[in-house]
Amino acid sequence: MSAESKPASDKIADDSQPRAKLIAKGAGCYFPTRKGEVTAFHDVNLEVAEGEFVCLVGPSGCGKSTFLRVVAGLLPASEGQVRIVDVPAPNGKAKPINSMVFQEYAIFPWKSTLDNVAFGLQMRGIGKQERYEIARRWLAKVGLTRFEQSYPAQLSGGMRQRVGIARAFANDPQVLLMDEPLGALDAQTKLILQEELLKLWEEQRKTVLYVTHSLEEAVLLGDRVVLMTAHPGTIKQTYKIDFPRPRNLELTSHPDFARQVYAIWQDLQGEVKKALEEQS
Amino acid sequence: MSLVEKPTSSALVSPPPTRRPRPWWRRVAYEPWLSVGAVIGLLVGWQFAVDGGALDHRLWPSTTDVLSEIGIMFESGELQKHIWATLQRVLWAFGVGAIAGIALGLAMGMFRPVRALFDPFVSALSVMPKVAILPLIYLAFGGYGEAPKTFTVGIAVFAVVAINAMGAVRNIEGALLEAGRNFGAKWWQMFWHVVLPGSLPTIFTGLRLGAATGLLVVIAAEFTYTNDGLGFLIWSSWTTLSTTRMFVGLIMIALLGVIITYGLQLLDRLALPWKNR
Repeated sequence: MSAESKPASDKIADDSQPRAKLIAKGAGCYFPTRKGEVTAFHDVNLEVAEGEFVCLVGPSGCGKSTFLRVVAGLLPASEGQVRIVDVPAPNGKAKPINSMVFQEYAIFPWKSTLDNVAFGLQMRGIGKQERYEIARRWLAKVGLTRFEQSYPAQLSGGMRQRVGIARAFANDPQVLLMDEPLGALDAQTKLILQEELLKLWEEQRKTVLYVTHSLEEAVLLGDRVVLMTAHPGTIKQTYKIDFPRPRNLELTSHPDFARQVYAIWQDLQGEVKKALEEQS
Repeated sequence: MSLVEKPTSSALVSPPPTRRPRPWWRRVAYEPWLSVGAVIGLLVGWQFAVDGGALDHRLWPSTTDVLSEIGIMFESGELQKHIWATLQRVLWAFGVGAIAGIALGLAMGMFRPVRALFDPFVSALSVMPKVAILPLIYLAFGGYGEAPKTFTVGIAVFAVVAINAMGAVRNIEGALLEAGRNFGAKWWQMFWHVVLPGSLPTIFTGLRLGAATGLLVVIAAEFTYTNDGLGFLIWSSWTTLSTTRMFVGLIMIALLGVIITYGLQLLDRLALPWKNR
């Protein structure tokens, strides 16, 4: 429960870790703009082990979402390497490398709930019957069975993000990437979905990289919290979160939980102030 | 049972407010009747104005004059001939222009080089008053036949539809494109599952605007070198001061516009069940 004060770069050398699923070495990302090159992040060294839930926190504009997009393969890295170790399924079939849950939900307004959840499977050419069967199973898990024929416009924000989460899980990826998935929801809906997410993950134990700016969320969900510095972002510190699982919201009432959140905040607040100064 | 004494509800809860029933003029949905009434009022007022001599009867036909003229022209088949001529030009031009416009607009939205290549022409055409190119088209076709008119209308529809289709693609939410790519959509799957359905609402807006432009241009084109169509009917009646027939032409073109607009709206609702439900 204590902060692990070793800088992240030391972690790479640590061989006692279980096998790494996601590896970033000296990764950086730059964008050309009219005012010259802008660094989104640089010198990011991170390893995420198989089945580990890692939360990435940092002040806004620190490049954590950009890093996630580089991991997802949606953006190229400008330097260093970022890769996910591709391990085929036991039956020899290729599994999708990663699936993402987006902050703005990014579910297709013209597709029914069922078709949205089955989207990844459909893109991989899985037949209608099989993909609907899988999608229905996930809809049941997120409590949307009654809404399988509804369009997103007919759903609340919380329900839409459940669709987004179910879509990613149903695709059965090797790594789940989540970009502030609960960031757009109201405080109470957020709590409900945090608990649902905990339950789903503890059942599935997928490798997760989770971007959030809520420290409580990061400590509640993660096995490890990685703190990024203000722009230009790099990893400042990582914290091992040892609370036993299965966890639920009750954990947030524990003094140790509050102490852990506060410890991270003490390191984060300086970065937030820097980020604020830079914006003004 | 419980030791905690519950407050008696009557003491704390105020009685439900007695609502006065809303007066009848608030309960009736009167707006549609107001619209219908306005039209009837205009027609009746017009009739009285002509009968009473406020409008010169030699120039301004009365409502009943126009209605009976419609009957006469319908019986002789002349009316159908003109409507059909205009409709044929518009439908041909609209069909070909809209399909070409959607195809090029989508391509321009998706591929930068295509956009760079065609943008100057499509942009120029879309801001230009389309009627202005009619003489140029006559020149290009070297004659006054049917083709240049239909072609001009087609160009007009094409430009409006293309510019809207291009905008439609470019306005698709970036996160939806990312989601498509992230879940492994190949380019044709991207087109079929993301780009096309995401563009349809704006494409339909383009079709409605294109139809309006098409009607405008076809009437203007029929003012020149032709002997049928509603534009011809309106213009030739004006030059011979047969104003009753002119009004028949005006009413028919207005009806045509209304029918086409509502038809497209219906298509919109059928094709986009996920919108506004």
